[in-house]
Amino acid sequence: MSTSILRVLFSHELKSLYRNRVLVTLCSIILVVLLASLWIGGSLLRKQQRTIGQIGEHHRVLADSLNQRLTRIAAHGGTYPGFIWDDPTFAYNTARNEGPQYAVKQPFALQVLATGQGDVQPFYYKVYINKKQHLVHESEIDNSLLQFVGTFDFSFVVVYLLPLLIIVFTYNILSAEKEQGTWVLLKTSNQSIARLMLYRVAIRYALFLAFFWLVVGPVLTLLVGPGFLGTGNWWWLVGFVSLYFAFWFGLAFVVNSFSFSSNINAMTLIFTWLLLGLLVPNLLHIGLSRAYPIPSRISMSTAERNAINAYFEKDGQELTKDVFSSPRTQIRQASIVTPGMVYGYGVIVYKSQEIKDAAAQVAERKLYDQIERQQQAIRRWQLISPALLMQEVLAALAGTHWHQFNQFSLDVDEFRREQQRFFYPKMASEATYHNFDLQDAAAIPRFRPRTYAVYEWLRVGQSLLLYAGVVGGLLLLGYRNLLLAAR
Amino acid sequence: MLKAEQLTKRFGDHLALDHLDLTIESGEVYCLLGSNGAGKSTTINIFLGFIPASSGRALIDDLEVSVNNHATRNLVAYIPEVVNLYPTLTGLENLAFFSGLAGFRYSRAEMAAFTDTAGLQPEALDKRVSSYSKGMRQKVGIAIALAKQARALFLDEPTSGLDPHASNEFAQIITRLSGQGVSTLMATHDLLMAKNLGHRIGIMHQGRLQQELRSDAVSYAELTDRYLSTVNQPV
Repeated sequence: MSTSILRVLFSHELKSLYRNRVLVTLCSIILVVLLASLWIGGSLLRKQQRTIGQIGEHHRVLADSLNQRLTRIAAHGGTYPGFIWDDPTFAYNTARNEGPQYAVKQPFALQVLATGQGDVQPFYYKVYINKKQHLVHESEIDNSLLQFVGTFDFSFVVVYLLPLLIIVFTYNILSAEKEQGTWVLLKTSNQSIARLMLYRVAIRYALFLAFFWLVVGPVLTLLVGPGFLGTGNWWWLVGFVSLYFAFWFGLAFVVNSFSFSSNINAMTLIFTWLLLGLLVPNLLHIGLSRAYPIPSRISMSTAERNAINAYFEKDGQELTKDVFSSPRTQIRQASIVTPGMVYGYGVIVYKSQEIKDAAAQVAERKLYDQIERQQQAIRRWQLISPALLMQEVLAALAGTHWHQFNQFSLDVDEFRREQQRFFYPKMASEATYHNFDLQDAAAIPRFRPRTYAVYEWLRVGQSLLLYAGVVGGLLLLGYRNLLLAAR
Repeated sequence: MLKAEQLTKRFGDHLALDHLDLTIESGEVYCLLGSNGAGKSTTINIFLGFIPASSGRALIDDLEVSVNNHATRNLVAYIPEVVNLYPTLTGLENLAFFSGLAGFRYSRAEMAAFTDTAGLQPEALDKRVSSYSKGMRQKVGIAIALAKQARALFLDEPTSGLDPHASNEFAQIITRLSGQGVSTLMATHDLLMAKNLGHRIGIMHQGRLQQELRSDAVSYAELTDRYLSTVNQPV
């Protein structure tokens, strides 16, 4: 088939499509939906950036306050005139008051495209020596009144809505020729019908892709700047999204090749969309949740509590005796809070935290191992639902996958341990209670925020090749059907 | 030149076409008469390569259709009872598309010349086909045949539903094409059209070519008698 035939078909398709009012209306609606989803993604990103800005300001205020107070104490000969639990020269007090910091997951430009786990997983924690805490303030709940389920984002539009547009775009690519009678004239041309149809599907695919990326590329650049263009994530994303659309075009080509009526084609494609997009992922979710049940977080808390109880009932007696009998603490004799009491309390907190951490580690390992097993199982089954694959890939490439939030959470845990390593020796030092000074304040460990957008665990190349194979198979099947029908 | 040699078509137990032998020379207009189910359309469909023959051969310019399907499609044009075109495209755009598929690329002026020959008014060229009458669509169909430079024209009830004026215009165009050496096979129920337009007339009944007449050797009344006596034959 020569390039002139391609040119003839291209011109024909372009004219036919833009004169189809239903299609033009639908394209306009999808355009609005696409722009809305990008705008929503952009506003979520900006909100996150604002929160991060506020956190930075909070850290600056706390650091200034600590420095000023320590400077004043030093100027008054090391005496703090205020309440003893507020005295920053006690490491335990500072660890409690100015020491806790926010650990922040740095936003990644492409998260505009996929909320992923972003609406359920925190992008920042307040990190204490004994816990990491995520508090959702009322002001941070986006949909407290609407009770809206999930976030309407670009990935939702791509994975669920655009296949519907593709179905409208392609369901009657062959059947309409038969139904409107132009089939007869096409058959008297000396072109192979199979190839004509394949080229028409390819041209519609190219037009659809051009429309899509010409909208998404510039809008995304406007929202987040052109930096994303230099990331591998973006180009993999372009590859996957384009291939996902190719899958639906290929499927429509196969359905058309069976020469059913337009109605049957539409019904078949819509049913396939429901099956692959909704039914299969949900059934898989239920099946895998049963096969790999996730232990509840309540059982994790219970395990932690049991470990602490067990310690204090047995091994903790020594610690208790040591702390309470120490001439330095003299808690039993104290009618008011003494420096020794602050020290003793700090040691108990430190010791019980060690036990709690050890217990939590075992329970958390069980939880995360199970989640990982579940995810691996889903990855094995992804081939039967491209929607499922796309959800995961888009989230991973946008830096909002569970893996990436989990990595952030693990880094926060490590940061908490770093804080413990910094504060515990100072808290447990009996040399002097007043051992925290300006130098220490400057040395308080800071969390090093970074983006979490690596995706090497996903084997993107393998998945892409696999689906390219599926799309190729669909096209071959449709082409073969049409060749057989022409005989 | 069109040639059918012992052309036979069976649909299951039904014999739709029974050993048809037929030759249509270049520039000749051959009209096939017969009641519904006589085998007229089946003959045309086999020549067009839409359906395969059960046995026998259909040849266009000595090329066997079943063997050289693509090559023979280059040589033919087909005008069915209703010429269906793309309704959202204009007459000119339809012409450009179908002639483009046949490998021809024409300027607007060249295409306008084809439609002019086919009798389509110039002001209709840029109107969408959805607003065309049946006759206007037929004319675009003829313009497509002209643009394809077809050597053989197949017409299946082309004047059915056309008003007398449009029907007459249509006949004139076919005659003109005939003068250019185009072989025409037309299936019709219109005996007068067959008499006036055809060089030869074949009367088919139950898949067989029962009679063959030269149109200049038979009167309209005689043609009518022969037709009726043929189609009223008992099974």
